[in-house]
Amino acid sequence: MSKQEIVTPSFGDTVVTTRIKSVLNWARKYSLWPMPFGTACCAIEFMGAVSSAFDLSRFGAEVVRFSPRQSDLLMVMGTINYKQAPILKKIYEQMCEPKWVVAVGACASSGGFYNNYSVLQGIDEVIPVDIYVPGCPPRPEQILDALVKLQKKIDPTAFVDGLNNTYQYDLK
Amino acid sequence: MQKIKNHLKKTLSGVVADASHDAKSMQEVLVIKPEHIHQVATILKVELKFDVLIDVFAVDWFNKKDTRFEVNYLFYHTAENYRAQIKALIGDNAKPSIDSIADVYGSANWAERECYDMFGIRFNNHPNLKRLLLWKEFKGHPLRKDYPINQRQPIPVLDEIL
Ligand code: SF4
Repeated sequence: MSKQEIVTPSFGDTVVTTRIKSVLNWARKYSLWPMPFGTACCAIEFMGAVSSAFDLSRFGAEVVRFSPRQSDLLMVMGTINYKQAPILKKIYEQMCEPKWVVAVGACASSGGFYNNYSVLQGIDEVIPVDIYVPGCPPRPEQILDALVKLQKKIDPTAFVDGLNNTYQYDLK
Repeated sequence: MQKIKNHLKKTLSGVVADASHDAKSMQEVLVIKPEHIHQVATILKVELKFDVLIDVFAVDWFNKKDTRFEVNYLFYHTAENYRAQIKALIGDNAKPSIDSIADVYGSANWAERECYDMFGIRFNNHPNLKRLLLWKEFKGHPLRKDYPINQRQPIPVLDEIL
């Protein structure tokens, strides 16, 4: 006999049983607070993604914060050059756990077409990245898609001990 | 304007190797030897009253055997709306150097530092010849034609000031 069956007869459908980490992650994935780290053209695309035509808030990431201390999703949009790299790292370190990073656009993901002396060849040289968004610049739909993928990724993760567990998930 | 043009030609006739007028940019182009640059700058500032040094930059003529580097100075005379470009051809390809004019024109200080940063041209007697734009761990001078396009650099650490 499962727990569900024990509870159901006396309380009807007024009680739902679950696990604390599922509730936590369910809350987390639908209330991501993005912090835009926009350094170049891709940041313009983010403006499209948050405004009414595409509207990021439909997916629960509405509250854009410009302080790393108040946000849990770092969106790096634009070219990051070497001199910017330690600043980006510091911003990332200032964010509280749990935190996630999305690299938006070719520049943030890999340096893009700036194969030269001044540009960092992808932000994963300095900070861990959860989702990479291709495109130069990506369409706003791609940014929304990245968010949905990130939510899938957050779902089975437990942050009980404050450490991001490693796991596999299906991108399809 | 004609007056200052003649004056320029007369006072600098001893050191100028080649002179031409660029009609498109409306400026005199004067080619000099690098050892005369301090003297020329002083004349331009004190006698001819060119009050602005707009920029100092270099060109890497990679294929030229004897004078690979050329340092350019853009001077501007605000009262006469008149410009002069001074080109100094540097003979030493391995260790290019030229005298600093930062003591004559204050704006040369940073302009020469940038030039050193990007091309590795040493400015003798410069008060503070450090890299201006790139970070101190950077190796090489990226605007030289022989700097490999895909050469990576160490990631800088955050300055204490931040
Ligand atoms: S990926 Fe393209 S659009 Fe985005 S920041 Fe780089 S150059 Fe700009």
